[in-house]
Amino acid sequence: MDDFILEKRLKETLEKKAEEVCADALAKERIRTEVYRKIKEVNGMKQKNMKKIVLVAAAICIFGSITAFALGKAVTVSSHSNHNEEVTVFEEAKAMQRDLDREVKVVEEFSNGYRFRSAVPRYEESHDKNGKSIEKETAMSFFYEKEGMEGITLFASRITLGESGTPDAVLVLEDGTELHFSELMNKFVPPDYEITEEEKKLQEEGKLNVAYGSSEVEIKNSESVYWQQNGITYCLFMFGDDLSADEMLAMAKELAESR
Amino acid sequence: MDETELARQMKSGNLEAFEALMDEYRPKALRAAYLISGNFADSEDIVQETFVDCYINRKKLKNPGAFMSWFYKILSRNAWRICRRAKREQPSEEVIQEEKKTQDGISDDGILNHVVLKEEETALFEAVRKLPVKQRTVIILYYYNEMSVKEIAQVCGCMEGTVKSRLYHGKEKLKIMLEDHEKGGAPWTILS
Repeated sequence: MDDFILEKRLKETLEKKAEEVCADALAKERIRTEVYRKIKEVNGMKQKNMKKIVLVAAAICIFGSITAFALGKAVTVSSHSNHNEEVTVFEEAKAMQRDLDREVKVVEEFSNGYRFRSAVPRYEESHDKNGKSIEKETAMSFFYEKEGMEGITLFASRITLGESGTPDAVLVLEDGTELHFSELMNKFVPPDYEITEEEKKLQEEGKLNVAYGSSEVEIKNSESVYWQQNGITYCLFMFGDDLSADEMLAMAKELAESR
Repeated sequence: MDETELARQMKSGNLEAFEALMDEYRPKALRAAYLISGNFADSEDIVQETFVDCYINRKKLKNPGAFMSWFYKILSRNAWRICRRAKREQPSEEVIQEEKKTQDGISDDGILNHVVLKEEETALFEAVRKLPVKQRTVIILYYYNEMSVKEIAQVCGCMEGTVKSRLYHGKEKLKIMLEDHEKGGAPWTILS
């Protein structure tokens, strides 16, 4: 059959077939109602996800907020991520990281079997004690997994995060980089929660992180290794105590010595 | 307010602009989704989810002037996903029966207008429906939505050459299917 004839027929047939669709006022209202209902639903879900991520991020940012306060700079560091921006291919995640900061080191796999699972951009902002924004940055969070074990998150940022209290273990690398391992108790509390004197003391000692925003009180222990290299602050973080201090430090060493 | 300005306003969260874009795009989008999916209920789902995605991801719209390509990109992804899901959920014989009923304009609780297609038009549309969904989408966007090859490449996220190839091979397949149909008894009347 001639192309011209086929194309002419094709166009006419599709137009005629499409006329079967009744795009009337009823269909309009049905679609409109459903669209707004779903937007509301998705927005609600997003807020829930965001809250959860902010809570986890808050657990990490305890180091930064306390030390920075002592320096008279930042009082709080807040951060959030959007689940829709999550990538699960390591090369893609690495490329996103390179676009943000070429100097940050990341690995696809650790020798103890933890493998890259996903990564997501993290939007950070530090505020002074009056709530005024001091610094904003976009950094990546990398998530690693291993069967039967709690997941591990890697954060790397140019926002200077300090460390409160004395680390529970330290490993010094050949180039002088100090890897600090700490255990921390995280208490997620409602916004109106008032901390006790004892909790204040533990906070000052860097043993407790109180994170506001949860609907009920929840306590979770966490482990982390913190270090600074080439102006970048790294933090390997996990909830629970699946790994020993030595194992966490070994992972940090592997990353810090990678190229 | 022109479409680019409406898209810009929507991007900044203006619901009136979003509503105006919905009014503008809904009829054609619904029909394109119907041609791709072959099912009215699915076409409504596709269009609803496309508008939802549009608004939720509005900040990802880099160029408000290219709203149409962006919109149909989301629509085609939703259509492909829903077509895959529909295939998984229904045994193939049922899909064919559903499609046949829909093509006869009697399914979907009588929502469809009753349009009488000539036998040759029915055969041609059945042939289009038998094309792989991505090839079918290109054919529909080109011949029904009257998009250019460049625009379709943006929608499908592929090279212009791929679009041309899908159009060419799609038409070749249609010719073969129509020839087979003719051999089967019902002649295809070639009118100039």
